[in-house]
Amino acid sequence: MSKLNQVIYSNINDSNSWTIDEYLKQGGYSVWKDILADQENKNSNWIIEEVKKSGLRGRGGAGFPTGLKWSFMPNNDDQKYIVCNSDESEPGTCHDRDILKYNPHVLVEGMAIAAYAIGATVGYNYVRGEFMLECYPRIEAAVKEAYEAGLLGGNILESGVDFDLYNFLGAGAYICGEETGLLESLEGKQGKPRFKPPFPANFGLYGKPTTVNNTQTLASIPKIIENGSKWYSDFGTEKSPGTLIFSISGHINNPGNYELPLGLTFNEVIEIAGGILDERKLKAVIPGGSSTKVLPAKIIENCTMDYESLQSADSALGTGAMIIIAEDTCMVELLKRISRFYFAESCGQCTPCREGTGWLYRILDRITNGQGLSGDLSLLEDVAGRIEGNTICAFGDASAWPVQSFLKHYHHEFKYMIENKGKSVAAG
Amino acid sequence: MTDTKNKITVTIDGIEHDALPGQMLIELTDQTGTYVPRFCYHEKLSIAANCRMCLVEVENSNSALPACATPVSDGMIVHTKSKPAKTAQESTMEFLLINHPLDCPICDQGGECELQDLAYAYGKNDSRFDIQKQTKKNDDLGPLVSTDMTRCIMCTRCVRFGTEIAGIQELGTIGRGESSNISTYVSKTVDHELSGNIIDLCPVGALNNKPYRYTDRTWELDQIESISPHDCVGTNIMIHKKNDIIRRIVPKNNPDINETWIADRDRFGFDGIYSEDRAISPQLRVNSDLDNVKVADAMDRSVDMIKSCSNNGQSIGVLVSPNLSTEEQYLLSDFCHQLGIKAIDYRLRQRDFSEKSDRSFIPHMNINLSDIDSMKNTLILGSDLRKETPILAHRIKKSADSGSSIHIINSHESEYHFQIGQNIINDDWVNDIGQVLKAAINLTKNHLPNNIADHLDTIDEPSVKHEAIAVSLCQSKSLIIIGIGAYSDSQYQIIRSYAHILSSVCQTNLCEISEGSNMIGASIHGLINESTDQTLNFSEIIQMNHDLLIMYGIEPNDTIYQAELIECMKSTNNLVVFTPYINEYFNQHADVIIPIKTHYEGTGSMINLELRNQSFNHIQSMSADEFSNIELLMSMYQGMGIQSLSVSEINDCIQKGIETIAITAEKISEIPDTTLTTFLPKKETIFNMYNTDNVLRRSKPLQNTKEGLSSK
Repeated sequence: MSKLNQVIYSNINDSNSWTIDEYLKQGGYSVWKDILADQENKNSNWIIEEVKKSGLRGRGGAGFPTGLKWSFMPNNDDQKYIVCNSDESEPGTCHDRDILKYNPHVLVEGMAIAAYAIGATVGYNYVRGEFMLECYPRIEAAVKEAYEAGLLGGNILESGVDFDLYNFLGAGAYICGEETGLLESLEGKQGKPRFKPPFPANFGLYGKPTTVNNTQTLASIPKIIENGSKWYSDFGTEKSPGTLIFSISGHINNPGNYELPLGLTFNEVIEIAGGILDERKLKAVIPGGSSTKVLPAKIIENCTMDYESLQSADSALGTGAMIIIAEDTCMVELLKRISRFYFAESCGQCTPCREGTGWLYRILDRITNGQGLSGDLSLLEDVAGRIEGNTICAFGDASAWPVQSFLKHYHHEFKYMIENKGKSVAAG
Repeated sequence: MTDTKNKITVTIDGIEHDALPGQMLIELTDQTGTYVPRFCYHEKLSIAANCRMCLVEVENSNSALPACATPVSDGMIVHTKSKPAKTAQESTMEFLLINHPLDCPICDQGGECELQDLAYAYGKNDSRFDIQKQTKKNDDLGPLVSTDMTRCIMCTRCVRFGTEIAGIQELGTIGRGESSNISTYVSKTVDHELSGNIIDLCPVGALNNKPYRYTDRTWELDQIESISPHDCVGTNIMIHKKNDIIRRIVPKNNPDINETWIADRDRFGFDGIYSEDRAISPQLRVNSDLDNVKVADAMDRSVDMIKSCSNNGQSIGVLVSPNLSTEEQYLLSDFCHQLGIKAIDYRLRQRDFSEKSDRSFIPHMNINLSDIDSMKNTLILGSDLRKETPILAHRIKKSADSGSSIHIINSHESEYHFQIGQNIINDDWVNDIGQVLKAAINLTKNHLPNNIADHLDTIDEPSVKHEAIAVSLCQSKSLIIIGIGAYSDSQYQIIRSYAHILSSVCQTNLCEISEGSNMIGASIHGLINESTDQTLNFSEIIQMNHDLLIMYGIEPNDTIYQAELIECMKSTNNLVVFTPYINEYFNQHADVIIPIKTHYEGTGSMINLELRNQSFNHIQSMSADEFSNIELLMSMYQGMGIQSLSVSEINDCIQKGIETIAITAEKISEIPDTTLTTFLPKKETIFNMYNTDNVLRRSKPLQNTKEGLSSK
């Protein structure tokens, strides 16, 4: 168990861990204060280099190297923004929720450091709408406490550095987790992704250079700077350094969030989470949130939980939200549920996703209702293929990949259901 | 392309092309004649990249890219017709069609539908979508635009038009995913003066022309190029006719004037020519009744009336519309001149006639309309610009959008669709213009003639606001606009003098918006007789008792002197009206009524505010007992035994006239000593954009709009 919860969640079990007193007692904000006190040595370049060396990659799903992303910000006097994506909405994912709830100050400190590094004087934390009652009061209180402690605002601790931080509560839309959809929503518009280029580093919030990072990414920063990039990168593997919070759900004995070093074997991770529910046999895993491709047991059991291993298995680490699927689960019903989600959450801006997600869902719906047609499986594959890669944002791909991977690995279950008028293989 | 350093090369379908960095791929394909299908892209609107129809294959990219939103880069290799490109385009087409109703046979867009056209090229014969299609709710957008939102493909051109061109967002997207729809959200009509353009922008049959709805198939229509007669801009239009009846009007793209836009009154105004009020038969008053007669009889009677006032035309008054073709105006002017008639005028909305001689600067604009886009500082004096000249207002909006400062001085607030710098609204607004002039003189240290200096001494010292406007105007690329509000003001001559002097001091450009569609045509030929200083103006003419009053193309509602004109019509011994329309006043007071054609049925030319001479030619079959307006006027000449120029000779004169103004136009450099006190009290004239001429007033669709109903 020594591998568990060493960076972001290190204080998660402490009482009152969300208060500034507790955070300060554990050395919190020391990094931020050090930077402010020694700006000559701990300058922007130094921080970005440290983050680059740590190998930290974006934890929102795409895994883009964070230090590199920061270095894209133009070096000019323009107003810049740091935006935290706390719109955690990928099905299966709930690690940011616990950060906001139990360790909000690490995020505040992380955002302050990131803002300093990229030259932003204003930050926004875009919080998922559904977190209104649970997390939002905690992060809101944390920001207030930080202001009262003089750690945010103008001329912080007489350092000449300004940083204002605001929390913003979304209204509960999956698409607002897409960074440009998030920016639109933050500007008060409909959450509809922008086409890229230009990327937010050039044209972001209100048209100004903006960096958008995931909550977990930003919450990793204080410890990385405090303990050094090597300390952090030593946790994981060479190509996937550091830790990741796995949100493990589904048929598992102890569902929950587990912050673990990257590169553990799948079986090690499952063991830490208490094993498959009721000692059932593992059937499949969706390894990184519902958008990533499903992997059958025989493939995932040979994987290590890091970026490269899952990529070479034709899936992805995504957000680290592992959905464990035990035997006797009907894959057709499961895919239908996933497709229903994408159908409901499509923003409707661009054609393939707007029209295609509903089509996919309706075909799956009729299959489960016993009205599937013999051509439906090739139609599903074809429609999914026509959405993939043809949309403004990655949502289109996210809606297509589950369909493609389920059909690839469980084609026989779909075929069986069509031939047997809606009866599932899993029903025996 | 002269800058070779910045030249890059892009290969499209195997052919290398030079391109400019930053250019979007679709601009290059359009330039080089490679067609890439599109729906959401429109060259006048921002890029949305949402329809995904323009996806093309770009080498080294792992997915198809939208040509509308992909900037070109050096060495880029693009395939627009390869297998991956075609697959992507056909995929989009399939998605667009799955929820699109197959109601082309009853859809007005059929035959000119972008979706229908592209479906032939990129669609399949059969649909693989065998599930129930979506339907959507329709909003009532008012009398001009019909909605069938089930046909909508969510390209958002109409929405972007609202935010970017109209400047006032009337439509938006609501809902998500499949439930997305275009809506006003809170139920309301679209009221913007340019709103009809969304009909042209809509690539499918979702937004259509409501009055035209279900009348014709587009391929049955004949198309005639023309000029809109409802303001001085000279908007280019296409008239679509069937069986000699105008069915609808659409824009004719002219980048120098109206680009691809037309105002709603340009599009829907023509409905007025099919009004029940049309004067059909010539009529003569016999005893107290009007009897139908032949044209020749009516003309003979008119000529007799003129002849019987033989005292050198001194007892004849002639009131003329400023909307006539230049040819008609010439003939009328020359006719009066030859007969010694001095009481002739067309200035229906001018109140202050205190200037008599200084007509050398005919109200016009000394730059081109397209130059307005690049103006950096503009001062608008006394204008409801959006209503007076919607297209010119759009040009101002474009300049404002690109960062120029727009200042306003007026007697009342009006709604603008652009950012305003200094906004001075004041009852005593004329004085404010003087204060700006004073500030400009202080700023430039210009030496002025004594009379101006003396006059300015009587004006209050400028405030910070006035100084700010003066500073702004003294920069390069500035423009002063005098609106119809100023033109109708009782201190017009002062305003005009201030504006001209201010323009000279700050070296700005000058634009005077004129009333009607061809006031410049009238001015050029001196409908006001310049040769003599005994010319009478409109307000004088209608205060006199005439033996004979001739009204040509105007009715009392056209002028701000409505009540006075009606009195004059009553008191005159004989009243001859040449009119396309009958109204109660003509029925009561006219002795001779001679029907004339409207602009939409005639041939001729008009000169717009930038002195551009444009001709229109509507070939309309006429029955044997019908005459064109020119023929009627020529027969008057004959009847009076005087000579007229031929139409081609007149056209030569027009051209010379335009050249003369362009060369000799000198700005006014004097301030009139006194303002003339007209017999009318100084009062606010509410400018209703659908009540400016006799045709618009009778256009049912326009009269049912919010603006139209507001004048009821």
